[in-house]
Amino acid sequence: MGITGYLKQPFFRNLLLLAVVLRLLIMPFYFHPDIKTTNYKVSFLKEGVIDIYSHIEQNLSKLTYPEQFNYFPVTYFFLGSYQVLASPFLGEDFSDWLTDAGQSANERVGAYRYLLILKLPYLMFDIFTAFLLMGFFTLTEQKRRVFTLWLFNPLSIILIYVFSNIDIIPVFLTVVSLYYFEKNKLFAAAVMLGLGASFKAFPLLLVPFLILKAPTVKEKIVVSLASFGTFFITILPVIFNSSFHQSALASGLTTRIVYTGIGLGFSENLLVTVFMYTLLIFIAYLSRGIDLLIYTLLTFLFILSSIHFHIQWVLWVMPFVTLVTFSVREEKKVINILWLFIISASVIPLLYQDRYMSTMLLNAISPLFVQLPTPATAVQRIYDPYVIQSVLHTVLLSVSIATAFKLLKQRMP
Amino acid sequence: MKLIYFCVVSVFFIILVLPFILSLLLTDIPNNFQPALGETQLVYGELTLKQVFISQEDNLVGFGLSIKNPYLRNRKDLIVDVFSSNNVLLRTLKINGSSIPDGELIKLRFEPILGSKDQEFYLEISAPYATNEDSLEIFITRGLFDWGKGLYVNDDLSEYNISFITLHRPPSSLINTFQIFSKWGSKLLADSIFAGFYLMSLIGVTVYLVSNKLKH
Repeated sequence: MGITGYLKQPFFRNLLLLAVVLRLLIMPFYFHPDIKTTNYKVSFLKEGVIDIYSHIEQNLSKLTYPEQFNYFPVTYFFLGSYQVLASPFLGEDFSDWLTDAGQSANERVGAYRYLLILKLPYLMFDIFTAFLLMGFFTLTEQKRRVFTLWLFNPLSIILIYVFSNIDIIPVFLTVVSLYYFEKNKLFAAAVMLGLGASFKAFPLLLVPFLILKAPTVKEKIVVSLASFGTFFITILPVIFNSSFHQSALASGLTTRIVYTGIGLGFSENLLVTVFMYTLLIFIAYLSRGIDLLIYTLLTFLFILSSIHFHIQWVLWVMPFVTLVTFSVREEKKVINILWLFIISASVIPLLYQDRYMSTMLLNAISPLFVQLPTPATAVQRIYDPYVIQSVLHTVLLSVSIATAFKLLKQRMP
Repeated sequence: MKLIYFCVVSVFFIILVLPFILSLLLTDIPNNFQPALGETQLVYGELTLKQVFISQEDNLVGFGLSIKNPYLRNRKDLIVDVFSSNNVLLRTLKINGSSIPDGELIKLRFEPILGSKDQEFYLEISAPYATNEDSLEIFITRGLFDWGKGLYVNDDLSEYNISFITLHRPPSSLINTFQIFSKWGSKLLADSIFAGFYLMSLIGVTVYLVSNKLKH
């Protein structure tokens, strides 16, 4: 059944409308600077700039936000094109707001309109994800439950509309990939992972599991080419551009995955994240079959446990925990632990000494909230927040290992 | 259904209750945004600064200013005196350089000065024990602004003002909260076309949902 089919049923139509209302209530009033700095950089597409990486490097001293564009070209063209389409609704003063880096920028008339319009693509992908998740189930009751859990999970609403990063787009494409995987369409699944990676690199982590699933060497090569090829095609125009290497390739996950290590002496480290990830790949190799849902879930659990992450990374794991929640194979105990993991993982970034993880998110409501101390400062009076973060990471890693043991035990030969 | 109720309550908490609670926690309100940070003015030894200003609100309780102190090189006292326009010393503050992080907005607080609204005051800033090598540098901004009415460097009028804000205690937390919420509403309504469309959409869908009573 397609989206229009579902919308003919009052249950889905009414729930969707309520979910949209709840999102609309938050969208204009919560502000994280990432949405502004990203949209400032993609606004150069309107001026005809194709190579954003070189443009920023050449004009660094003249720019309001003199930092590199940390995303891949597809993000630039996607959000830039959306901005062009939305410009009649954004109005003429939008550029002034984008280029105003002052504390009073959100006091401008129109700031709420800008925030709502700029978040609309995220709303679209959020809703698509809700419909897509239903496609994994056959029973109407299960479809209703998964639809409700995705749309009415306050945490995903906060992650998408308060912190407003682009992660929902690659997350959606990763779920599409899993959907094709379940239908045994490995080529389409691989293309979707490559496309997702062209927004943010993390879906590429799942490609090895797809390769392992492919039964023949020829199919393994096809899957590899489809995923990495799609990704490389999207970065091909800038692949030899040194500005691109310094910004998009050397940011976030691509570098942090090799940060966490146990010293071996002589400048060598045992890389914890790489160890956990490769362990998963070898377990998948040795196991009876590849359950991509479980390996996706565990990969992201290990990433969140062992890397200093941005809060929006928690979103990566959310649709997969939502799916596992209604999987008949999993025990209630495991499901509870997974949700507890997500809630605990969301606490860690709130302890970063960053005002935009807490009080400054309300800057569009009133700039006076900048006066308030951050949770990290408040906690500091009692205990060292870095120790709390470290303890939480350690506990999350143990939980991930225990969950992996439980989930993989029944899948091992 | 429980999850839907929980989500509705959570969203209302985020959008109404959280700003309400946080606004009750605001004790000292800045008069405005800090003017642009441009150049800096040294302060050490005999070199003192006198900043004339008009308090725009009542209950003056402090100042916020930015000071350059690279690697916390200054660990000596900075003295800030507040005088009335007729040279009566009203408040004195002392802050050690070791607690002045480089470039951050420092808030200096004192007991409220009642009836300060529209009154002229001046700040005298000195660091008598600092030398040229470990001097502090106060961020200044070119020209006058609504409350900054002139900066004197050792009695010589400068073309700059200190880039500072004044802090004021609101008469009550509830009044302050009401002001924050009313400004929030005014800001939304100021963009009338957007506000009309936005509010009508929300009300329209809510009325539709309530009329259907969410039977399913």
